[in-house]
Amino acid sequence: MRRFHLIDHTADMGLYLYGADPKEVFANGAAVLYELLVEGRSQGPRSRETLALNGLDREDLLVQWLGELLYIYAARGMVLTDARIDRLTHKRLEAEIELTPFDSAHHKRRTEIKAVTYHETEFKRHGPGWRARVIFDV
Amino acid sequence: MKLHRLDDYRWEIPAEGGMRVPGLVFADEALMKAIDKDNSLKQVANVAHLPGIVGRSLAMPDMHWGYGFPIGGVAAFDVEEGVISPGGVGYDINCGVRLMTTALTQEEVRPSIKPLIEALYRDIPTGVGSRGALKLSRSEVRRVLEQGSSWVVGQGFGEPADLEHTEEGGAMNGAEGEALSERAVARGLDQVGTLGSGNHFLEIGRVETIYDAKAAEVFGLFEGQVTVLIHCGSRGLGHQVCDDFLKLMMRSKELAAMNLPDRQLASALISSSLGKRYFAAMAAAANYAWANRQVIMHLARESFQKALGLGPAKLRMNLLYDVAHNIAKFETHEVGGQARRLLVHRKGATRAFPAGHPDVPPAFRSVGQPVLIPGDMGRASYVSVGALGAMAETFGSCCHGAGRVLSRKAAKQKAKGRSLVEELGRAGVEVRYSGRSTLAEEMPEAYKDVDRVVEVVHQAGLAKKVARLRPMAVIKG
Repeated sequence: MRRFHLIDHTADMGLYLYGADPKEVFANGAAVLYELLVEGRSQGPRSRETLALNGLDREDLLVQWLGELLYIYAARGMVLTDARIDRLTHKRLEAEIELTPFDSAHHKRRTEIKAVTYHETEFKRHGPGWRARVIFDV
Repeated sequence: MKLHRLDDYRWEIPAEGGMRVPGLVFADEALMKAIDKDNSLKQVANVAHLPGIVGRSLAMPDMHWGYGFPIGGVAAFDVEEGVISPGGVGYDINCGVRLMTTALTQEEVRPSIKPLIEALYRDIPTGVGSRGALKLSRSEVRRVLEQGSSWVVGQGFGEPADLEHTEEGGAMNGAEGEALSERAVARGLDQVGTLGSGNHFLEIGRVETIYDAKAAEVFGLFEGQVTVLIHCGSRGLGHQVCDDFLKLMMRSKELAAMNLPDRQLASALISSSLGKRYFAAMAAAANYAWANRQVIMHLARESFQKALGLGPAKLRMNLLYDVAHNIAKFETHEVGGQARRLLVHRKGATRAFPAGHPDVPPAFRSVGQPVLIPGDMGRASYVSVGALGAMAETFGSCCHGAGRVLSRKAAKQKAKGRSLVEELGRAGVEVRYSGRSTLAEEMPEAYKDVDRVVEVVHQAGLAKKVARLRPMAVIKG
């Protein structure tokens, strides 16, 4: 199953994210976000953290989830290496993430994403699985 | 979407459904064809749903699809019944442009253009994740937030005269550092003096054509003159402020009653405590952006001195003006024959006050406020001057640039197999860049024809052309 495809937005960057279930959509979103942000792998130290978010609905949770992961990169200088969604309801997300410090010897910065917007977010059943739409401000 | 053509440059979207006012778009026929291809007209209609909107939901000829508000959108709100909307300002709070004039001519600079652009590229932190020339403590960030440009000028980054040539004097009233989250402040510690990436740039240009000799003289512009144009904003700090307040507003009880068509339009009443806190935080982020452009300009002056071996008296690198194009401001406008205090949101739109307006700096009051309209890196940029039509129709606003016409994806596809650096070089533009894909995304063809966009606001009487600038060298993030 495809993980994502880019939406042809004039100024910013839109994504459709896919998954067999909502958890997979969230996990794919994390992976795709970091593919857009950074390339390369480092052998640096890994640390694990838990993340718990409360939202109004799945759309809000997705924007918050991707927003948190963007903050980790943009403000804390860490790169996501793994994300596991432990629990997901309509209003709450619990996840464990693995991070490594950004290392310019091994990592290369790609697109600068300013923010994850709420513009035209959607989270729906799509064929046998699920699909979400999200627009990044770049 | 219903669209009525009113004349050669105006199109009305009639008020339907939940729209409280009609929409008004400034464009000629060719520009409207491009505009009609994306979702931006729907966004003009969406903005018209916001409580307390006054007059019309407006859009400039550089408009294109944004998030929430269209880029190129202008909307004014009643201070009692109206709202303030973080999405109507944008993530990059006080993204804006400043233009420096010099005493140099293009003939003098052309032989040194390569070492000059290399010095600028080396001295000004540029690109994704760039960190600043200044490392600030938390208390220093708070001073920047409350004092804006004047604080960095006090630290030696520029001259007091620069402040007189900056919108709001480089520091907005009502800014409160305390209104920002810890996260936002932390993101501001090392980004003063950084250009960033995306559509941000520094450009050395030359004045190619003068259209209005009187205004050009007042602005200190002459044909063949070398200029420096700087475009950037409030960096991660501003993005965080927008993010923080959107989340808070989405959770407020008052929002549910507004019944808005797009979550990104989340707003708060201007008179509510949340609305007031957002304004205080937005003004503080705007001050951060002015300080950022002030430091970058100072670094550029130093680069010119080193690269050309000339002192400040010979270079005479004076700030012509600095304009904000992502901002919300309290202003007085005449509506239905009465002066009203309004909150004007400009999301990718420039203030364009005419001659005689008290907010225009005294040096320019006889002709009007300088309006800076960057185009693309291959063609041209403009200096215009605010005109009376802007006060009559657009709450003193006009366009902010050329506006995108190609998506980033489409631009990258178009750039495949081409050397944009060589192409631009053949057109007389030296380019230094930090990200290859950014360069492709920002290629000239990705933008509308700025001549056409500026002609629309000129003919519509919003801002009159003063000078056309041609790029000589550009640094891109």
